[in-house]
Amino acid sequence: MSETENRLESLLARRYKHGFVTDIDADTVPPGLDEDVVRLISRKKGEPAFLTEWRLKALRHWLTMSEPHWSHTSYPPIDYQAISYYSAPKAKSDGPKSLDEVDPKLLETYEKLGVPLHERARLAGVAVDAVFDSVSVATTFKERLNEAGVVFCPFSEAVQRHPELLERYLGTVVPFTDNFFASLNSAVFSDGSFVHVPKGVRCPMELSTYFRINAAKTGQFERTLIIADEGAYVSYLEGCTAPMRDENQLHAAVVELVALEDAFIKYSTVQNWYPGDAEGKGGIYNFVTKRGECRGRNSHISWTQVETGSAITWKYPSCILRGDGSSGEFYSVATVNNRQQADTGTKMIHIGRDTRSTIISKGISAGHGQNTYRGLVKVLPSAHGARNFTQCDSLLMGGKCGAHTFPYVEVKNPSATVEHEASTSKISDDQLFYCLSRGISEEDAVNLIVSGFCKTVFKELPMEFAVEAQNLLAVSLEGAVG
Amino acid sequence: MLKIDNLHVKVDGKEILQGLTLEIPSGEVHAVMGPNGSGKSTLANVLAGRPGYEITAGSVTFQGRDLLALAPEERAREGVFLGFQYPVEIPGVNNVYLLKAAVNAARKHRGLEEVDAFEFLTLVREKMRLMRMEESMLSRGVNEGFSGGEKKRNEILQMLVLEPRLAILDETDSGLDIDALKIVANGVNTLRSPARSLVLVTHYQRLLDYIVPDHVHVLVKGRIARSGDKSLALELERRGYDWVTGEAA
Amino acid sequence: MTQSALSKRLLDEYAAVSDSLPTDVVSAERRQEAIQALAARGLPTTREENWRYTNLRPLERARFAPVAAAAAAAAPTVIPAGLDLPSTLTGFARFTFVDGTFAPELSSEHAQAGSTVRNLRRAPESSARRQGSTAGTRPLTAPSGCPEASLALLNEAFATDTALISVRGGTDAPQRVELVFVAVAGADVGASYPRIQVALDPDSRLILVERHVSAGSGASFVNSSVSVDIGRGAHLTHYRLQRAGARSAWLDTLTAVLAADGRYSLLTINTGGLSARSTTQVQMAGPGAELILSAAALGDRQQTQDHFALVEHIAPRARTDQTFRGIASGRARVAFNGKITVREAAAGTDSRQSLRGLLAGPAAEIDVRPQLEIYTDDVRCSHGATAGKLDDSMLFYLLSRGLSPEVAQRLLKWAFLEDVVSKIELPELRRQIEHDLAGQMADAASLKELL
Repeated sequence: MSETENRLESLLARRYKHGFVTDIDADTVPPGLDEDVVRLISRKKGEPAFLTEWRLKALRHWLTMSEPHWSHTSYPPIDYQAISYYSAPKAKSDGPKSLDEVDPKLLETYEKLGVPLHERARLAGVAVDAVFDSVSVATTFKERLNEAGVVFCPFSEAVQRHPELLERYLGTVVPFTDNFFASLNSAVFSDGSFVHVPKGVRCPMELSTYFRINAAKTGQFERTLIIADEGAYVSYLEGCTAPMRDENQLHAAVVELVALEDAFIKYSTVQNWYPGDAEGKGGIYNFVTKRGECRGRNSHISWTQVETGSAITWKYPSCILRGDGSSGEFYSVATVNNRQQADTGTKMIHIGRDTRSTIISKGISAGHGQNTYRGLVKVLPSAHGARNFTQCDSLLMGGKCGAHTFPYVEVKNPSATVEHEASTSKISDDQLFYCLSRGISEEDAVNLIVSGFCKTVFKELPMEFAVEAQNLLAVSLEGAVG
Repeated sequence: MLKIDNLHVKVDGKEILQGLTLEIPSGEVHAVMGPNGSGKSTLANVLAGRPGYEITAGSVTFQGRDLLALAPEERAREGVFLGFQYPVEIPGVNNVYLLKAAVNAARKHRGLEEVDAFEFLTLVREKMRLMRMEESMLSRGVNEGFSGGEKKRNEILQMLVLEPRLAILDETDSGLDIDALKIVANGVNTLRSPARSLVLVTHYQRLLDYIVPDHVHVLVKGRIARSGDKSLALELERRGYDWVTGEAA
Repeated sequence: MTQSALSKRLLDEYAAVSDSLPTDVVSAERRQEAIQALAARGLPTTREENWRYTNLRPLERARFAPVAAAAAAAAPTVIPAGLDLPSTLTGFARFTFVDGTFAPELSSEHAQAGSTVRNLRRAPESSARRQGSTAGTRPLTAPSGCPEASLALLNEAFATDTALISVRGGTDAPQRVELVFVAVAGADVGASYPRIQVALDPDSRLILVERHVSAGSGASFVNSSVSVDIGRGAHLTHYRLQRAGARSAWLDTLTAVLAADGRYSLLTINTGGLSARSTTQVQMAGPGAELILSAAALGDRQQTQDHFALVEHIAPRARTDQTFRGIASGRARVAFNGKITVREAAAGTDSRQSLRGLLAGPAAEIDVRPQLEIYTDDVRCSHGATAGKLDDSMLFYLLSRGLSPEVAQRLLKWAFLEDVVSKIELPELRRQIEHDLAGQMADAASLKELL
């Protein structure tokens, strides 16, 4: 058994031994997964029978599946029976007591990111009190949202308050049979976000899980469901900027988006889960299923992602373009450094007439990182007049990294137009020299060129996230050149 | 020759031509000028039958026939020629083959025999000399790798060979240096005749120094805002389009 | 039929004929190894990534035993009456194989000083040794043992003859060879296994024309295997023209290795077959090697035209230029999956892929996959892929000049293939191909004057 493998197992075991059993007896489920565990999770959350049954069906299906290995990644086998599937928030005593106890390198990273001091402490999992502060902040937002009729709450709360919406929409975009990790998630998901924007309502503010996920520290199997009713508009931000110290965790989330007629959903992610150290120790296995369905006419779903973290990323935020005239977008920046591996991209499934999709993907590989774009553009016979444009560019920094492009173009309607362009090259010597000759340091020059390379994607992000994304990029590529 | 009456045209749901009325008798040269977005190119494309333009009202009569009822290729065979603002490149389709196919399509339409290959090439070579075009351009793909000026000259070459009854030249002067402009103008002028009408769609008056129009129309917001003789173009040059748009507003 | 049942049938059929298979073509041991490896791996299925667009149903129905084994082993080849072979090309030696067996009466040898061309069957063993050929007994497996080459194993196990071409260096004029493979028998009788081994000595030149045709309208099962070895500084220009019968299955594997500064210009035109699949694997093993891979495919009716091309760069400064143009009409599926892998040592790699598919039928399908797998930073790789209809603005341009919609569309379809057809450097061959294509596009009349 390899060292990594050992470590993963021991980590999983350690959590069992020291984490939950000793500290919070009542909320502990022993490692392993069977129907009893699923029933227990459902009972603890006080879920209605339909949901318990849905989870069980997912579990039964999952048990018939085997882990997929088609992605361009490699990692030691995961023992799913060694994982504990219900974890209450960690006790305060579990984390570091003050900033002094936090890894100085981590704090340095925050400083570079420009995260305020109290925020840094909170992100590092130090001051639990600070979390309460921001929870109360969130409450003020909630009032404004209530006035607009927008529901934005934790998934478990939605189970209690809006079971009819859940029953109607849950699993309709990502069925529990969809893939190995989505099935697993469906059986055991812990919590997540629920958003419902009613007919004709423009959500009055950007919704964000930036605070909540970090605060709750749940999040191995979150489930998010966003429904934009006819003519509704919502922009949702998901920030996973919580470096996790040394933990090596499986993170298998599911995000479902439903856009009805004329609805507009914009979903932005800045993902900076802990990528592991320079030798590839630790880090998150980020195996996520994200999919949106443009169900109504002229609906629109736009995915923007900046993926700088995680040891392994496996995710394809996708759009099912069912409604006539609906459109989907995917804007992505993915960076890998050190030993990171990313296999990410999108699927655009054109079903309705005159559906449109745009894919812009920018991959940056450094160190020993392996970066893969994988994308499917599929035009079904019904998708008369469908159009797609895809551009996917890769930048290589150093002779040990990899950049891979695996697009699929499958077209079954003769009136469709699909265009795919891609290029792969190293960072341009001419550009670098130009910057250097103007007195810019090599590191700054690289950052400058890289952010130029990513510009078309960054401009899709809300302003404050764009700044953060740029900083993140600089941090994650640190040491890649020179 | 051509009679446009109260023409309304929408593009992507937006009304571009809003009741345009214009009559062009045989043998005349008319210039249609106007600021960007006034509908000049829309007019040119509608006359040639380009898809994507929704005609919501009005009529266009060409030699007594309903032009709008004809397919693009039928209009061409009837003698309508559009000189494109941005001629498309068609790699793999031979330039001379297209010319010959076009000539034969029109001849067949008129019940004539196909053109003799030798006579045809002699004619084309003569016209190419007039347009100062390299003979090698004949064997290349249609407009393939041509410069902006070469494309425009190729358009005029096609016009000279096809000898249309009505030619609409859409911004044929754009992107031409002064020498090329003179060549193009010279080519166009050789085609002027009592049996033929010309519509010059242009933004600048410059072209009209070389192809002197009988009438000048100013298009503003999809309608003819003002008509006059060639002095109108000079006045426009001096006072700018604001002068007319201000009046029209 | 399940995979395991299919594997079992494969083994049974092999066992039944193995004694009659010529050991001078492939030794009994190698045949045995190949059939075992294939049975263990299983015949490809559409569940596999690089076979997902192939029509593999003919594998289920085919008789794997070769036609030649079905007839008496020593029986002379039956040449069907009225066999209409393509006209010969000036200066080319022609070798014709019928159902995988050499047919001397349909062949015309021209003595060429710089090369040896022969078929292995009935060739004296000693002559192979005298030539010192490297190609003679080399296994036809992929350079890096890629699973996609599995159908080459099928050929290896059942092959009945081999066209062996070795070219010596030192003459400036390229050698010219034409190979014609004719499928006659139906799949119910047996399979045909065209097999070619080409070896170019350093600095040698060869122009090879390879044709696959059918006699009659029978549903043949053809499984061809080609191995190409291009020595240092050698140049091979290889035209592969597949025009199998409309009901045939034509499955093909080509593997090639290029040494330093070797140049391989490979142009394939696939128009025939009900189910056609080409697997092309090229390894750029020497620095400065150059590959120009151009492919055109036309599919109509229920045809499937699938091409998988894998190019692996393992040496520095090599260059790959890949062009695909495919037209799918009727209910046809035309697919091209082109993958370029650049290994860590292949610094300075330059690769381009341009894959374009045209949908010309209401129920047609185009699948294009330009793939790049890159493990070093000193590269310049780009690809473009499109699938769609004819360009509206081009179409309108032609209409505005008075051409009818039908003529305009045909003309543009024709022009669409031009990026590949224009790369044919032999005028005589190009004319032949243009006529074939015009016929295939069912509009010879209107395009004749083009030619």
